[in-house]
Amino acid sequence: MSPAMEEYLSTLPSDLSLLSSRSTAASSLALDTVDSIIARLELARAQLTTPTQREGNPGDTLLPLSSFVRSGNTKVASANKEWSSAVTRFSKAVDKKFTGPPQPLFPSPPPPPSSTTPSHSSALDPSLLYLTSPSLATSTTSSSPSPTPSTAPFSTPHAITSLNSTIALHLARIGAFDSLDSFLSESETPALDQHLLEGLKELHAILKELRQGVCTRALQWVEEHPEHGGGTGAEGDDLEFALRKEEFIRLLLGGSDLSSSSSEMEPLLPSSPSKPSTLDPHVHQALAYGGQHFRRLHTPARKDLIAALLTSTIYMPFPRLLSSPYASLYSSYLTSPSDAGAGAIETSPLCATFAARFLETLGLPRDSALSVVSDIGGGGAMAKILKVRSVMKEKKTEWSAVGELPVEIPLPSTRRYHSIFACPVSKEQSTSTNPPMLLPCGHVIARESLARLARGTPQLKCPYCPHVGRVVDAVRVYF
Amino acid sequence: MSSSKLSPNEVLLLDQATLKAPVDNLRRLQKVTQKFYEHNLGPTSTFQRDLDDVLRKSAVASSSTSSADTPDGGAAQRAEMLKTVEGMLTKMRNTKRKLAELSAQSAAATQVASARLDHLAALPDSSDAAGYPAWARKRLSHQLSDYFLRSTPPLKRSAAVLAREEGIEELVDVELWEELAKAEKGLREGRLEEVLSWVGENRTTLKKMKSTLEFTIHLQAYIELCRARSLDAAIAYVKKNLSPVTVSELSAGGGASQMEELSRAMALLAYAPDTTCQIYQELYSPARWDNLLAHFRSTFLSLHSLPPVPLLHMSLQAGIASLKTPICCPLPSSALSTSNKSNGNSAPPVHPMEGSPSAECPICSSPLGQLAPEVPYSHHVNSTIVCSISGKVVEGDGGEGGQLVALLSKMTGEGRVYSKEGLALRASQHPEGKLVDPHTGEVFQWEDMKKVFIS
Repeated sequence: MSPAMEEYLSTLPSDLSLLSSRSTAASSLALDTVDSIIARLELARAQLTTPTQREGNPGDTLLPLSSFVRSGNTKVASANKEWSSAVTRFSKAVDKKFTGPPQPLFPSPPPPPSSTTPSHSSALDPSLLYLTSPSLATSTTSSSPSPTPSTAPFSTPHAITSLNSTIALHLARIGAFDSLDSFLSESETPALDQHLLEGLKELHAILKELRQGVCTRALQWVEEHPEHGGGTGAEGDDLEFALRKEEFIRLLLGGSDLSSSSSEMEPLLPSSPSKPSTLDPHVHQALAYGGQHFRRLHTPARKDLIAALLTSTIYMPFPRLLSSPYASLYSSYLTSPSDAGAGAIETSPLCATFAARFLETLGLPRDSALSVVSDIGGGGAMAKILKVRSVMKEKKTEWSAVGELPVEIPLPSTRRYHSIFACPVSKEQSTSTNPPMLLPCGHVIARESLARLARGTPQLKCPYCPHVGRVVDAVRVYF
Repeated sequence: MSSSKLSPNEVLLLDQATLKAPVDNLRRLQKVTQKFYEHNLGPTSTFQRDLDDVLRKSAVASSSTSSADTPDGGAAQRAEMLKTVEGMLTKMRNTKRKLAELSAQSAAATQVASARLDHLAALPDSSDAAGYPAWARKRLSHQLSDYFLRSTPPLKRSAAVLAREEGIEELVDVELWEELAKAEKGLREGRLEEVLSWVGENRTTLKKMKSTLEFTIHLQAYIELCRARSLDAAIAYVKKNLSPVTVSELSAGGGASQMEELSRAMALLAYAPDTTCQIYQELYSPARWDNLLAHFRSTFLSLHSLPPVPLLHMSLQAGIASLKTPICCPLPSSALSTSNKSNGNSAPPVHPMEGSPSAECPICSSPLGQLAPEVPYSHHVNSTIVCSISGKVVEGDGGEGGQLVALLSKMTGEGRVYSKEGLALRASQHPEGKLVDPHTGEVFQWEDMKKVFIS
């Protein structure tokens, strides 16, 4: 748990575990009490069914029960009380931490002038209200907290259709195909493009294999799509190379026991490789594979890595490899006996690269639109908007949904898609009527700022450096 | 501008209800268990009475055996005692079974609470952390299921399949949504029983919330009796459920306006549903049922700490507003004209922007853009320059994304700004390795590139 989270949750975890133990204690105490009562009753019944009194007098058996039940009840009652106080404690801690749902983000758009809202009705004489329209009175008194459907966000049929088709695509992108089927039929959303859906299904099948360290289908895809395997230059080649490297290692380690227990074998000295391990068919296979593919993919940047991969094979078998100078190449393939996800950490960036390349061929952006947008919204933007709203409310300055947010929401650079130029002098965003102007020194300011700074003179000193230039030399630029 | 840090206070805004339902459940189970035990074993229980009874009989029996030999009478006594003891045994066995059941339910409820707490606790402190994508995916799936279950009609099957496929069963309060659906179904079909039974179960909390829901329900029940012209029943109903004392108990501010409404509604005894008088027509209006439905839903949601709109919608509203530019979503003509009007200080003016849509931008390139007109535009006081070739944000000289350079056209006298790295990449792909402005097609020399600094 992160320190911030620990501070945030404060006593919640300990309160819950207290509750848990007290609840268990009270429950088992009650059960034990009942169990003892049952045992005693059974004994009494046995005594009553046998006609002789040799087994004892049922009265003597039952007499202590009365006091036992009394004392049992007292104990159970006090255990229940402790349990109840733990529940109260936890529930208070929860209520204190989670103060309730956030307010609606944006005030509903201003109503069209024709419709009258009952917001002012409280100022009216109640009797007048009574005469005008009882339904208005109803809506103010009894259903005021209820949102009328028309002001709920994204509730027009068009918005719902758009949202649902985004959700459908998202479900397919994350590989939740069962959910997709069910969602499409239940919400009557039009099916996804067949080609797209098949593509995404193939992607997820390949990714599933990749996560298990099997590159066969991924490589096959790269071979079938050379333009995308190596489409955008160096990065693309890296995908194929990374896959080949995985496959090489998989072949090499194919017969090895990857559990860490075997690595306790006594490490052999590096001198021993003089005895070649060519008997190992896996080494053979791997070297043949490497010879076939690494030559083609050989670049100066990969030279060392390829050499290391090929050379490292002389240290096989695996336990010895792990004590060789090349151990770092293979350490991630070592599995602890408990987890079966061999190489999972190693392959996850590979999966991401592969997925991005694959999605490109389908004409889809790298990330799901729904994920990107909801992440930004839930990752702090909502809190910032709500905060500025409450500040503005205090200052009695309302703003409506038609304009601009009153605050800048910081975005990670991967989530910025458009060039925005804000003049460093006026802080205003540039427009076609007030465009950005490049000064001879390389600094950029808006045209209006430029005019203001020059004050009608043909000379201008750059506000950001000592350079003095001519106003006419400033050039209008586009980003 | 570093924004990868995640503050639990901000990020968990939409997860306020996460522990609410489990806590309610834990509290309910504790009470039920305690009451059940007391009812079955307490001093006033049948069990105690039977025990006293059998002890008395046994005392009588033992005293009678000592005094006189009456085997028949003794046998009869024993048979009676046996019957009582067997009855007690059955009762205790049932008690034990029920207690074990309750105990298992408590354990399960604790398990749910702790799973949810674990989910909240697993939020990393940075969106760059390795665990964040998985956490965010779980959260989004939970928001999707919330949206599914709130839809009309609820997409129950989709929510269930999604919960299973994404492994979030422990985050979804299925029973809660079933409760909502059940009462709403009743309301939609013109029945008040379901919603009244829900109100009965939550009366204390509703009172704390100063909800007027119960008043509205009873009023509607009365109106329905008037509609059916069962006037005696209507009067009886009001006497029973809407007496002045009850009304003030069921209302927020002493119930003055509720009494007002009630007295107006009393006139329905005289006005039949076919009345032409508008006031009473409106009391008979079927639209009151729609209002009641909305009133119930909002009360239900706020009782469970859930926002009135789907969680998904709230994160999308905030997310779209953070991203939306006039490039993604053209300015509406009305906004252009009104932004400078007298109510001006209400909203900062929106600037028309230059640029073209981006295939990576979720607002430009996905149907989410269709939702964008409902939220404000993003606001910027700092420049962000995204190279139109590389698609990367160029922070400035030599920093992240590389160096910005301008190509100044000799034809137009205007300049276009790109990242040097992007231009170099293009040149390397050019058959003759020439430097070409990708926008205008004009060919440049390398020394024509002019450094640009954005402050």
